[in-house]
Formats: sequence, C-alpha cells, structure tokens
Amino acid sequence: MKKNQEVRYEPVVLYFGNYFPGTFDLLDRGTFKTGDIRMTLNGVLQIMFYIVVLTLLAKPLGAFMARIYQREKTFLDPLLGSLERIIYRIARINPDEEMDWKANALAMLIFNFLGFLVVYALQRMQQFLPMNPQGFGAVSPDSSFNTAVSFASNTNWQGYGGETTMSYLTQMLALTVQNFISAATGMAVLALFIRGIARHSAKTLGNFWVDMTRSTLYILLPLSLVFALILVSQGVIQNNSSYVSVPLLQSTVDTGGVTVTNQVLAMGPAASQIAIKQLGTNGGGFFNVNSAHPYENPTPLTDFLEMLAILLIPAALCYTFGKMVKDTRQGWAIFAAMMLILTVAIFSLYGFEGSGNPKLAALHVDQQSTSMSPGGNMEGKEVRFGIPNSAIWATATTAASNGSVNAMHDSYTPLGGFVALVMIHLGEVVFGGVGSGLYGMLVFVIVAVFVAGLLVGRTPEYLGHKIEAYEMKMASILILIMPITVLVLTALALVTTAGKAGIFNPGPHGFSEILYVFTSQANNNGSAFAGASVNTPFYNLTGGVAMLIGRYWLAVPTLALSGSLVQKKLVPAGEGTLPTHTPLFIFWLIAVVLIVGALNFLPALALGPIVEHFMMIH
Amino acid sequence: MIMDDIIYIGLAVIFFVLTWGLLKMCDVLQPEADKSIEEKSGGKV
Repeated sequence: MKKNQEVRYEPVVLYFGNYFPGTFDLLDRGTFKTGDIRMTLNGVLQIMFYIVVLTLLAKPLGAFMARIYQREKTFLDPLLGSLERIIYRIARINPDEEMDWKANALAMLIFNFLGFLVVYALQRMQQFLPMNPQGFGAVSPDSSFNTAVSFASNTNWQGYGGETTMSYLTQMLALTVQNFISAATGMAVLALFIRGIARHSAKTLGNFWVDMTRSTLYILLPLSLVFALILVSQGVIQNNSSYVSVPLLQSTVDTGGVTVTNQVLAMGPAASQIAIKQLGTNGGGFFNVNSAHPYENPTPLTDFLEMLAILLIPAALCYTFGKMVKDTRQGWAIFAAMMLILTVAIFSLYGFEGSGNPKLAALHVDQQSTSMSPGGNMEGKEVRFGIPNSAIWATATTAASNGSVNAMHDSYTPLGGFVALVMIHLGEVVFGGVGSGLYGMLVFVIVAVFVAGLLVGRTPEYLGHKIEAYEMKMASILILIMPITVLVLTALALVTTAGKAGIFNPGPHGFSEILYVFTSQANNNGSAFAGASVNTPFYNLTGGVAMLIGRYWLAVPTLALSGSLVQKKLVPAGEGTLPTHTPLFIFWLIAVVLIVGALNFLPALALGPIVEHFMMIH
Repeated sequence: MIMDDIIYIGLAVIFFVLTWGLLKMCDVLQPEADKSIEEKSGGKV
C-alpha cells in the first residue's frame, strides 16, 4: 500500500426486507429503496456490544446493591460507615427501627415536599445568591413550579434552557442534589416493596430513611464520583467560570442582518450533574440540547458510557430483587422480559431510521450507507454518533425514565418516534427509572399471575403470597392512573386556546408532540419530542400536575400493595403454582405489558405517529 | 409575584394533602384484605 493512500471501507449493509414491499421506490439508485429495513453490520455489532456489557454488569452491581439493602458488610463500609452513622445521629434516625407501609409512605411524601420547596425557593431567589456569574434573574413562578416538581419527582422535564436560565448554585444545590435524592427515593420505595414480597406474616417493610441514605451514600455517590471523573477525562467541562466569548474563524450574519464575529461558549459544573443525571435516570441536561452538546458528551466513549449509565442501575436491580427474595431466577426472569422488549425496540428504531425518509428520497437526497455517509434519516442526529447510537440512546432513555437525549426525537421518522412513545406508554417498566421501573414491572407480574390464575381456575400466588382482591385493586389503580392522566391532559391541551398556542406543527405531528409532552411528564421520563412551545403557564402547570400524579399517586398504592403482601402467610408452592421464572412466564409477562399498553394508547398512537407514517409514504 | 408564589406553593400543598387522602383510602381498604386472609387461614395472620 502506498504511503498516505486513502483507504475507504464500505460498510457491510444487512437487508431485512421492506416494511411495505412494492409500496414505494422513490429513490432511483438501483439497489436501495426507501422503506428497506437496512442496518450496517457495524451498527448491529455496536448494539449487541451494548446489550452484552449491560447484561454482564447486572449481576455484580445487583449483588452489591442487595448487600446494601440487607445491611450487610461491603468494601465501602470502612470508608463510609462512620459517615452513615453520623447522618443518622444528626437526623435522629434509629436505623434499627422499622416502619409499616403508611409510615414509610408519609416519610417519602414529607421529604419530597420539602425537596420541592427548596428547589422552588432557590430558583426564585437565585439573583440574590452567589455563584451566578452571568447574573441570571429569578426564574418565573410557573417555570419554578414545573422545574421543582420535575426534579423532586425524578422526571427532569426541562421547559427552560439550562445555560440561559439557571445559576451555577441553582444547578448544583437545587438540581443536582435532587438528582441524587429523587433517585434514592425511587430505590428506597423499591427496597421497601421487595421486602413486602420477601417477607411473610410481618407488619413492617423497613425504614425509608435508612434505605434512602444507603442508596445515596453507597450506590449513587460512589458511582457518580467515578463516572464524573471519567467524563472530565474525556473533555466534559467542570468549572465555575463565566461564559467565554471566542472569535469565530469566519464571521457570519444573523437573521437580523447583523454581522456576528464572536460566539459565547457556556461554561459550568457540567460533569458532576451529567454523571448522576444518567445513573439516577434523571436526564435533565446541564445544557439545553442535553447530551447532544459536545461539553456534555464529547466522545464516542462518553456516549457509550452515558448510554450504559442510563440502564445500569435499573438492570442490576433485577438481580438485587432476585437476591432479596432468595431466588435469583425470579430476578433473571424479569430481566429477560425487560431485555427482550428493549432489544426488539432498539433494532426496530434502528431499522426505521436506517430506512430513511421517502420525502427526502423524492428530492434525490442520498440516504444510502457508504463509507462517507451513515445513510438513512440523519435529521436531528449527531453525525459523530450516527443512527445506531442514536437508536440505542432514544430507546434506553424512553425505556428508563431517564429522558436525556443525544438526538432530537422530533426529527425521527414517524415510526421511530412511535417506538420512543411506546416505550414510555408501557409505563416505564422496561428497566424503567431507578427503583420505580422494577416496582412498576412487579405490579405487572402480579397482574400476569392473577390473569393466569383466572385462566386455569386457581388462586393466583406469587412467591408464596396469595394475590387477592386488595392487591388487584391497588394494581388496577397503578395501571389506570397514568393513561388517564396522559389522555385527559392531552385532550385538554388540544381543545384549549392556551394548549393549542404551544403547537407549532400542524396535523398528526403536532398531536404527537402534545401527546409526548404529557406522556413524558406523567411517566416521569422528562424527554421532549421538541417542536412544541411548553414553557408557558398552561404547560408548566398541567405538566407539573402530571408529574406529581405520575410519581406519588403510583408510589403510595405501590407501598400499600407491599404492606398487604407482607402480612400474608406463606403459601408453599404446590403442583398448581404457576412457576414465575420459566420462559413461558417471561413471554406471558411481555404479552400482558404489551396488551395493557396497546389497550391504553393504541387509539392515540393511531392519531399521531401511525397516521403520520401513512401520510409520509403516500 | 409573591401572590404567584403563594398560588404555586399552595397547589403543591393541595396535591400532597390529596395524596395523603389516597394513602388513607388505601389504608381503609386494606383491613378488608386482612379479614379475607384471616377467614381463609382460619385465624391469626
């Protein structure tokens, strides 16, 4: 080979058929037809690598977290044990005192309400407080309300732009602190819920304060510290400097005709917030464009690690569950159900985006994968990440209640956006938020066991607990609250002047945007479809209500359900007991999750992304 | 602006009071479940 000779490797393209064979052949380029489900081998391998690494990490981290919640010794005890005891002493908590479900639920509500007040107050008073080099004024009351609810409820919906609204103190003391606390709240509720399943003939579930303290101290803080340092090593910024004005290499002209010669670069303590925003399934970006910003996500390595961090703890918690109920097969069964849905969703989204856009094909835009172009629909995606990594991120962030983005979901093909919407519509139970995802899935497990019991005419049981009327009442509340909230508020936005004022896109796409707004907030996801103007009193208020309902009206019945299960006598497994660790049950559980999701949302989805898809191809 | 603050904080207070009501409702419903277990198990739980 000659020195300096340029070598181009054409990507290996895998063909999976055309999702509407013969329907369109708009791109007159021989072999490639729009609608072809095509993926590159490189992209498939990257997705497989992500799934394998996530699976491999689930067991060690899950086992470690089980030790944390069972208050067993870990390698961090010599380092953090004394700090934990000091916290209990200052807060006057007796770590050995257990509480029933009501006391735990009340503790959670009071603590989260106080968190809301602190975040609200810090935003409203930031102009009087230090660490505000840009001199930002107070955040408006409606935006403060929405953001305070958003961060207290682990949603991290952001109606504001971080770098143009929040002081460094607000970012660190209000938002980052809540990133830890809200995540720890979800994990604590899960630990209490699991004990309700693991124990029999008991009254108490544990101590919310202890579970929250241990979640923060032993899991979230150490992981975030290590992750933040890795991010800094890769170029994510962490400083308290004023914004920097740099001269442009080539001047430009803005929309007003003014010549622009300088660009202002936003600075700030980003790495510390990004680490926990990913690990705690919070998702709220330091910058407005979230992890598409090069200071939040500068390299392919940070992109991979940030994607991994989204699902790391939720995936590992499945194994934690198995350890705590002393049957790891149960944890792996739930993990398998979640992973199967996730894998199908990632490849579907990748396929839909890889198939390109027939409207662009009609304009003779090249959408073929070559060594020089990723091909497919690249609108709204970072060229440095390409379609496969955008697909993994979009699926993971909507599967988990994370909500961070590295590409704009609004620019996905209608079916690509459909996948993102569906993942949230399933109730954030495909790994889901830290803690909340697994307790949501366990509610579906109980429903699946109950329906299976009805089919064969036996009393349903789950891990030695009889599933009776009270458990099903709570499960029904848990399953119905979210879709009712989403659909009622979406309808409200579509029939009111204030709601319609936020819609910029006409037709089904505008409908999808509004559906996404309330879907995201009521499921505590926080990602935005974008394209809708939602930093208005109407959306801040209705969105805030959606987030409150989605978090606390689900957490309370969950704890009540656990409080009922914990009191039940152990029913030994018999010949008629449905095994809940077999492939049959895994597929049954997946079917229940999908059927419930479809019953709740298919009509709404038909009005949005599905009809938009047909409008696009015809 | 102070009035707006009072309204939004008041809204949050109302929501958390309603959530406390939900908690009480779940609690009131629960003895029914306990009772059914006692009947079926023939005594203490």
